Amino acid sequence: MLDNQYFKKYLDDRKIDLSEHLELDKLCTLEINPKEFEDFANAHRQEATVKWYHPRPFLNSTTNEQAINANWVGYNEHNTTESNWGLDPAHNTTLKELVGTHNFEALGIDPDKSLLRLLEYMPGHSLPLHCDGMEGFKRLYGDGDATRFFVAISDWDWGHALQVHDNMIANWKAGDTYIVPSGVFHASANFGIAPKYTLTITGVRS
Amino acid sequence: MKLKHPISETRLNPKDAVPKEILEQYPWHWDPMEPNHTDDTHFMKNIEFDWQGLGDWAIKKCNEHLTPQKYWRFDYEQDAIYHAKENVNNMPIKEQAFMAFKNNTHNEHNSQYFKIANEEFEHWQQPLKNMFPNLKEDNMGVSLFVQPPGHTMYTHVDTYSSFIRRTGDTKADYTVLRRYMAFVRDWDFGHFFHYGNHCFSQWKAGDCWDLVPGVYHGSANAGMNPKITIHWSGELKDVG
Repeated sequence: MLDNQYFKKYLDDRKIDLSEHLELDKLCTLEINPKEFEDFANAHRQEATVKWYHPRPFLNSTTNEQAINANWVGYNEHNTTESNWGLDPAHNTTLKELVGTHNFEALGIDPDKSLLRLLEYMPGHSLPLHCDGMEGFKRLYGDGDATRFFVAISDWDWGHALQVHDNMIANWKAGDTYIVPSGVFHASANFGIAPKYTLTITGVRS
Repeated sequence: MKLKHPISETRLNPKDAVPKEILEQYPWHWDPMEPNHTDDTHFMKNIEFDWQGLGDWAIKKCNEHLTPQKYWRFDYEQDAIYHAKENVNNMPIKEQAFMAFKNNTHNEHNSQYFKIANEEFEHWQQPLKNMFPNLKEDNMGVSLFVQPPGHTMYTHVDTYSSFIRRTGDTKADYTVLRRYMAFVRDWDFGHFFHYGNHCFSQWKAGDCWDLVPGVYHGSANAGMNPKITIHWSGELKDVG
């Protein structure tokens, strides 16, 4: 039924061991207005990048291998569709304005060298286990030592969850921010009844 | 991929879809931001059993036919919710399922699971039934669910549809019904389960929870291994 040998080998080859604990604490809570982000999503819905989890020619080979492995065990357009905003420079500028200078200072990153993505996952859709390639950021700013931040945009709702290695992240308040360390595998899901809005911020910390 | 319906501009309140008698009999906080809850206090015990053997056997059973027997589907022409091939519009789960599937994005492609129940357990059935002597044996149901990667069980309050179907009762008496759940395998990447405001992790095979009625819960598998849980449902002997 479930031919997960390739996905398991991929993790085994990288010595990914769930029994090893990863210390991961909340970094901070950004001061944001959730409604502004949700209004932005609704106002710009027609311009969203809508994608599902599968290999694409502009991603690196590692990311694509993860996607191939995920598709092979059953991930498809029906269970991994994501709408996102931020690749369009105008959207990225607006999202940075919504985040605000004071929050960038709190994170210690330069807003002019950062990439923001507002993600919307509808009920029934998940982001399969993966680690980030940060291709979008690298295309814009090169191979810097970038940090990926996860920011909760809405208060937590039932059925919304993020797993970062062996850490279960839930019960968040809007603005709660975590670092997803480079190379660390993570996954998220929306099995509730309301859309899940989160923001990723990628930038080089000073 | 364009949605076939607008996203609700107001928050859907799941409490509105729960049968009135459950809300009355089992008051609950119904606030996802409530920090002072007891949703994490319903762990019962770790049951010693050959969970490895049961899990391996269950996967082999699934592999015999490769087709998840269960999924949820909304039929817009009939305005009906289907659980696999059964129209469940006359079941108490109806309103909750409508909230998740009608003009929402849960569908038959992301809600599938394999189910093994009761006599299908073969030699495993009796030892599993014996684990809960506090439930009446004649109408106790035992079900094992294998949730493949990429699938979710939408958040809901249990309404005991399978129990109603099995017993032929026209209506469930929620004051005497109880459900217990155990994990068949250790926690794994991408395996999510929330019971009220408590999100489970690090579970061990055999960890057993008392799923007290009236608490909103759901699950998802965003990993690469199947998630396997087993559920006991029945009437308490010493109540009513």
